[in-house]
Amino acid sequence: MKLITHNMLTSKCLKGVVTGYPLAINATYVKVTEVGFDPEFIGRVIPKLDWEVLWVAADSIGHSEGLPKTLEPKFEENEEFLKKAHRVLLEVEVEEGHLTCPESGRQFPISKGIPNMLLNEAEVQ
Amino acid sequence: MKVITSDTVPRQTRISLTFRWTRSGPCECSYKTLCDSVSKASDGDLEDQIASNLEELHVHQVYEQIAGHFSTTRHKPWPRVVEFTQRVQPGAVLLDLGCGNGKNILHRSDILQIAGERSSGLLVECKENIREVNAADCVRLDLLHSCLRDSCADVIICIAVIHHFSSRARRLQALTTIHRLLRTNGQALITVWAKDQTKSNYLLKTKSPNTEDRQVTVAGLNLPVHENRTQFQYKDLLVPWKLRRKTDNKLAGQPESTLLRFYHVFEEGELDRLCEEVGLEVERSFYEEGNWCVVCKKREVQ
Repeated sequence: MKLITHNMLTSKCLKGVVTGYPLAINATYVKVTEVGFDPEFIGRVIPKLDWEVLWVAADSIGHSEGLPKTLEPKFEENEEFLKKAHRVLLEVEVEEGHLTCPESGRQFPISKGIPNMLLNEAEVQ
Repeated sequence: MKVITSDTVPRQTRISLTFRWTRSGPCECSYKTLCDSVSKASDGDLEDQIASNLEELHVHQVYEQIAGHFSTTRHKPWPRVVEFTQRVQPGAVLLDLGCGNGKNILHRSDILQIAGERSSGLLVECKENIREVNAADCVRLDLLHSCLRDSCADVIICIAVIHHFSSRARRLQALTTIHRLLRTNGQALITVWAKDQTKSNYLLKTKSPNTEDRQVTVAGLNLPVHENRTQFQYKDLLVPWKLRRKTDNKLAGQPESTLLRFYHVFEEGELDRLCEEVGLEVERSFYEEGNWCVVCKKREVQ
């Protein structure tokens, strides 16, 4: 699971959960793989994400070094920043571990890099 | 109790004697799908629990079992899907819901592609297939209760998925999820299997449907078993999948077992009406190789 994906996951569909966002990450194995850098794409996709959530997620698995906590104006022109963002968004991957719902404590396992977000019918709203 | 079976037995002549006891008051039987007192009350739609069990047995479990074999038969994305996804604007977030083995994920590095699928077997294949794509990732999810944020997607594709939901209510719920995940003015391409196969390569000219219907009973529900490569005779049916294990020699290996997948095949305009019902504005609708396809847009809130 890449952190860009984590940014979009929520446990809101659980019964009794209001926002279910962001999910806490518990990683037992984090992998970093080099991925081709496309600065234009990174600049375009960042406004669609919750940057603070990304920062906290990166920090929680030890990959926030050098990453600003808040977005600076004209970040899309700052190549150095885009490279760092690219790294945490696409290169850092949680291979094993679990996600935890901030409200109910329900855990979602991550195995072989794939988070399992399936719910039982009894758990849903 | 959960009954898991993939056995089918042709029906032969039989004699049965039925003794009936006439009773009054509301019906309390457990055969909701066969009971006319229930169908009168709910327009004949399947009760959710029954629909859910049916999908568990004849969709989810089957895909888990056939994942490896299925994946070897699915290499190329459909041209009309490629045509749609190629036009997606750079920087967009694309969700492929029910991605299967990921064959519809494009080798593009300028969009984010998230592939969602319920079958873990297919997801493993998908993960492997998209390894070379820069900005693509996999999530195991259910289209009815999807754990993705509202309005997170610019574009959604949902290819050959909605026909696996066994009640109208659940098909609507799946489309409601697509609506919820799309941002305002976001676009979706949705395709389903069409009942009318006359304009596709699916039909074998030499083959005609069996006159003797085969039926399978699943949880008190009688479902016809379709004869592959013939015109569909019913809208809700079971389609056989002849499972072959992966072998190096493709000619080797007789089918080891036949598994039945549930399908609801669509009439012309049926998908369009469901989309409109959940607030997805149909922009284009077409028939392609035995499938009804809809390109729709999430309307702005009035």
